[in-house]
Amino acid sequence: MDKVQALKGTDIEKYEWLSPGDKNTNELLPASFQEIGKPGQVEVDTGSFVFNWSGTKKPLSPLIISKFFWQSEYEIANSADDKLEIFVAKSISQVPEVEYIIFSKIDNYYEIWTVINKLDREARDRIYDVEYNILERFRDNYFDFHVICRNDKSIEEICPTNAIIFYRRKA
Amino acid sequence: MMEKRTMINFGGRTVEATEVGYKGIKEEWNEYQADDGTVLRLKVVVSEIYRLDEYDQDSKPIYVIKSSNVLSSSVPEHLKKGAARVQ
Repeated sequence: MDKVQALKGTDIEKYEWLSPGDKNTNELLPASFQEIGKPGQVEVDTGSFVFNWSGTKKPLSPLIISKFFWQSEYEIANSADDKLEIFVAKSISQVPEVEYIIFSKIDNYYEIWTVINKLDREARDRIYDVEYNILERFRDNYFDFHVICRNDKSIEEICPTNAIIFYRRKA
Repeated sequence: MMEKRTMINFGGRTVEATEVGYKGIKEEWNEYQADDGTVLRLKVVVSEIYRLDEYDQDSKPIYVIKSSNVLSSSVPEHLKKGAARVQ
């Protein structure tokens, strides 16, 4: 069997932002759309003039057109931030009771421990729903999910060997 | 899933929308082989679908999808950090 892939310790800090309410907003589109002009009415200078009897020139009323100037940006994905582990952590961390997510990975075999503090069957059910969704969507990967209760122990006491803490909810 | 009315940001405006349930019919990986030998696999994972109270030029309601990209790479050993470089 291959060696367990070591994920860098710095990942722990890096992905703390995944905590709901931090960057997981309900905002749609603004991040992926670039405003290149103010939407709505845009004044266009026609460059046309009329002259009155006194010989002075007077500009015509500017032409008003309504047009939306929205241009989609390219979607950018990268293999560091859009890897499957992060998608899994993002998904599971949507359950507010989740305090830690611990990973070990061998090739496309993932073992995932989701840590909550006290036994909470409702929270567990919501975590199971997320896990089921992940299983459905990534059938060509192998997942072994566990939900464990910390019961006020420190995370270091329950973190399995050869696994890393991939997500830690911000206090 | 019950349809749920909501407001979403669409093109800089806040518009009324309905969140609609869905089921996946086909959700596959797109695979690409880069010239350096790396195989990249990309999947778009939809999480929410909204139908706006607005219509396109074909009189169809406009849909907005909230999704994530999942990208995996199979990288040749010689490209990995610390591998011996062959000139």
